[in-house]
Amino acid sequence: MNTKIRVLETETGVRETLGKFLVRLLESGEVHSVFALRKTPQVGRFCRSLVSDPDLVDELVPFLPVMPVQGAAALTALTGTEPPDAPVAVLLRPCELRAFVENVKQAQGSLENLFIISCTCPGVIPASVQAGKDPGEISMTGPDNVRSTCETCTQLVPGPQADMTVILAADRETPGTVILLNSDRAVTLAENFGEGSIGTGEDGHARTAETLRLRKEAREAFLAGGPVAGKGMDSLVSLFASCIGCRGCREACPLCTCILCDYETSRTLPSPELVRLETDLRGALRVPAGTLQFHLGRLTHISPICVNCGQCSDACPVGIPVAEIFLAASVSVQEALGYEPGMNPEEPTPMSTFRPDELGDITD
Amino acid sequence: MRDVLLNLMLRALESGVADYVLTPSRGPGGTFPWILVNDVRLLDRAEPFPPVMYVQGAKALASFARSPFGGKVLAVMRPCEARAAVELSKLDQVTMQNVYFLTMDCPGAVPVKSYRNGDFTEPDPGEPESLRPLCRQCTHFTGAGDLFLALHGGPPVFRPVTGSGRELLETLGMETGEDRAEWVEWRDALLRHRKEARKRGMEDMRRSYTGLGGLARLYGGCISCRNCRTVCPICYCRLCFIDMKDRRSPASDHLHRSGERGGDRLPGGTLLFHMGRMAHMSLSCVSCGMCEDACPSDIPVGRMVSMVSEKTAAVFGYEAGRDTEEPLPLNTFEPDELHEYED
Amino acid sequence: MTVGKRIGVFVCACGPNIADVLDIERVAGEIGKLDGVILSETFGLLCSPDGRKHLVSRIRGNDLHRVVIAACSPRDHETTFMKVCEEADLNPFMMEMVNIREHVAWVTPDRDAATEKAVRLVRGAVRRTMRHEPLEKMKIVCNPDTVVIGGGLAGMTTAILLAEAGRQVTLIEKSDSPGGFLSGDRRVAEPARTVSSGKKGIKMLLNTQPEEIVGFFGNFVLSAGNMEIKAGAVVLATGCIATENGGFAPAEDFGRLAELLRLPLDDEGFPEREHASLSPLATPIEGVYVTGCAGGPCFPEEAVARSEAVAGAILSSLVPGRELETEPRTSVISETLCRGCKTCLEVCTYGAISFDAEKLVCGVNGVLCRGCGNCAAACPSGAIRSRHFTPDQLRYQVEGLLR
Repeated sequence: MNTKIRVLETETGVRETLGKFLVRLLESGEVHSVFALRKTPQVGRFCRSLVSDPDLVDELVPFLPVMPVQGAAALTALTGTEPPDAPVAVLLRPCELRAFVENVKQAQGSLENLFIISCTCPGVIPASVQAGKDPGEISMTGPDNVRSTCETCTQLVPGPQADMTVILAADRETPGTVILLNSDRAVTLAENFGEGSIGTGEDGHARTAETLRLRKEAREAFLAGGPVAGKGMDSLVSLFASCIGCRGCREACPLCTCILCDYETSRTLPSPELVRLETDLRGALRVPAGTLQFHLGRLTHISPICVNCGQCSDACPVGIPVAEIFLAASVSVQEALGYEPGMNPEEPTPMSTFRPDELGDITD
Repeated sequence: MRDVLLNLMLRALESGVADYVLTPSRGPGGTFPWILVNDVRLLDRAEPFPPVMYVQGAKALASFARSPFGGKVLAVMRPCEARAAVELSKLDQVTMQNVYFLTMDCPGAVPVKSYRNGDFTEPDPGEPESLRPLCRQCTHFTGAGDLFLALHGGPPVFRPVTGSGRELLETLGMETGEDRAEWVEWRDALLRHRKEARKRGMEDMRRSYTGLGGLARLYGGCISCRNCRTVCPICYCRLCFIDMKDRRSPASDHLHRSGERGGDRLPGGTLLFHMGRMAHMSLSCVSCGMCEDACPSDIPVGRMVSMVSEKTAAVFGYEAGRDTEEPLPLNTFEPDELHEYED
Repeated sequence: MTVGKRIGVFVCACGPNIADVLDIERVAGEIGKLDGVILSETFGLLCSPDGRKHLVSRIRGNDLHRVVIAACSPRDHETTFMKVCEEADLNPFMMEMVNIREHVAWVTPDRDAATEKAVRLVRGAVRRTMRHEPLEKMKIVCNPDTVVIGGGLAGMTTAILLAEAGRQVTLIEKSDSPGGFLSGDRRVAEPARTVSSGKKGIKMLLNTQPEEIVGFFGNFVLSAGNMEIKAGAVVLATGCIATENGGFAPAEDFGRLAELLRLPLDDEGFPEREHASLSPLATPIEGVYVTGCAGGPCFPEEAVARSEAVAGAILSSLVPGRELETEPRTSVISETLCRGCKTCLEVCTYGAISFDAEKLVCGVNGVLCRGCGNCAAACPSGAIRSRHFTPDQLRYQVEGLLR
């Protein structure tokens, strides 16, 4: 299906176009602040930041393919207790937008007063690859060595909450910048931008159909033959065996918003009596105990809503393929539950709804 | 060295002097998980004093020994881990009764990142470049716990530190003897060297990061991952003050700040977290360096906390990890102190 | 709260039921050796008057703080033994019952295996009771008023009968006049005049439909628009309609009403009954009745007869001044740990959880909560504690079973 959509096209590259657009948004007062990736001055690293001063837009690196912090986690920190009382333009990758929508469903954020600019996403590079690179060295539209969750990502077109979609990943390279205008507000702001021209063109799906096909192939290959292919319960022990309990995966995950993780409380952690009992039974026991319990618990709670952003693998200091494990699990769990995370803020989360006639193929 | 330690562990279990041994072990993927062992046949996995520190030994101990464990445990740990356990016992997170600490002339540890890259040499106190920054300036590298293995100035020999340590060696029919002169010489020389390194290191930190601007730069790359807190043995709180729900700033605060200053990073509260954490735990900091090793942004967290801790502990004449009976300054009220800080 | 001692264990022979299959003396003997158990004995039939007297005297005489009774199913005698505790001045929630009849004697033929299983189960219960806490039942006075939904012949008749007996009735009608299916018919003319006349005891609300109903028998709250109507009983008199294929179905909006009440329906969409023959006008929800064609098509005379029966049932059960005990085994939400995700609210079938938009946390109404535990199970943060089924109590029980 070839849907036509309003499109803004400029002759300048993405970095320049976006920079000018964001300055214009701030100077005109259309938005109070912009929320995007920012270079941390003096330190050569990146962070998420609000910027209200047009002069500081230079420090922003919107859509640079790095993810020091998952955008949804940062946006939850911003809107978790109340929505902003003035418009904010937020730049989010499709998975960050989906994660944020999931958080909104669990009352951990608000979509109010946000003007959302997303992109067709070519992926982000892992922290280890990114270390020490200059932003200029990283390609916006086709970065090398992206995360495996990015290579196999089939949601490269953002969901309906995105007001604008910057075309980064595309089947055909175009000179200049193409931005899809998905909402009336987007059209108005594009008109007020005063640069480039507004016409109609293909939507995000049409522009990335071939890329999607390749991603789907990559995903099939991953599920059939990747690092966790064919591994079941018995392999989970060895997959998580090198875990040192740093909980970096939980901290990095945008969907893990519990104030205190249930798997960190005395309620669930093995008691001293149990440690002693198990040590006596087996002759030796790893301590602190409860490693697999934590991961199984997180898998249970998160796999129905996981957006496969890959932050967890990036955060792991001992190289456990957490994101890959969650990808394999979430694909089958979400299929069984008939659920697509983050596409519709009105759709209730599967774990809070009971349908008497479901999962018959799993239950006896 | 490993064989000598393994032999003692074996004898301790066989003779009943210990019911359990707590030691690092060889784990999958180049890791060294702590294991609690009571079957001698499984001791062959033991790998005491591995080249890296993945989990602070005191944390591993605290995970099961908060209340009296109901069996004698011989804990084979680094001096900083034994000292952290001393602090944790004062904080009611470890019961020391029936736990004996066996330490060693600590070779130090290599940074986890270097280890995982394969880019390291075996830790050697004589080669400071091989060690983590905190190890290079560590002045508590030996003589900790109840007994320790002296490696230098002759064949390895066990030396008691406390009465329990002495008893343990005597029960096993081992010599308790005197410190060898060569060993004393080695220790004193290294101590001098380390003190000097520490002094230089602290001065560097002070110079580089003075004032709020300096601190903002120090923590500029912080992504609020909380790794430093999670791996710290002294940070035992399940829910950190900074993560309490009522600490969250509403959007209006963030927008207001951004409007005033031009921008506002999120998540925020970075400096508050680090300062607050130091206020809470620096007095008990044993400079083990876990925090710095765990930081994904290469921030010299440990060196800063260690420096602050030296100053704050000095106010009270306190030394972390020295004595289980020494009360925690923040928990004790002395009417006649700190007058010099009053107006 | 200290972990409790002074536990008394009583193993019932249950006549031949239990004693013939497993060695109850050995069970009592093994259990008697456990830490905290100061008394462990057998008895012939604990539920008998003698048995109960014996229990009271043993509890008092030995100053027992916790009691374990290994006998039949709690469905049979949990209430009995809880009353025994109350009589002996022991909080009834300090007692734990173990079913060694249905769960052991009736299903385990091998004597040794049965005895061993009984020992384990009782050991689990002993460990569990160590973590029991006394719980207080609250008493609330029942609300003797009634709300009738539907102003047709059946609804009006019910309302008039109750009002004549001196009760307050709110009659809710979705259209702008009473009469329902028989509107215009002379048979409803007089009742319609009565209910419209402001007759003492009847308040009629036209153009009104319920939006929310929470509560339980003696304590319902129905919300419609800005109004909150409190009543002790709810009568469904919403009528029925003819379907295209010649059958009958409940009125159009009945499905939504049933959802509000979480009322089970049969295959045709009509409400389930408490018992098809013995209680055909009561629904499985205590305090919610059905009259007229809302329960299935009937002639006007039958509708009136049903209304008379329902009015009678309400008059005799909702006696003014009658006290109702609330369930103390409710859920409690920790404000500190709750992040306000509302998963608990979604899974609560009793409408007992509400969201505080100021504090951004959820809270449980202790009176409405029926202690089902759905919320505690669903909470991802572990922020909800089920009283009398706390993690500690369950863990102790499991450890007692497995060790």
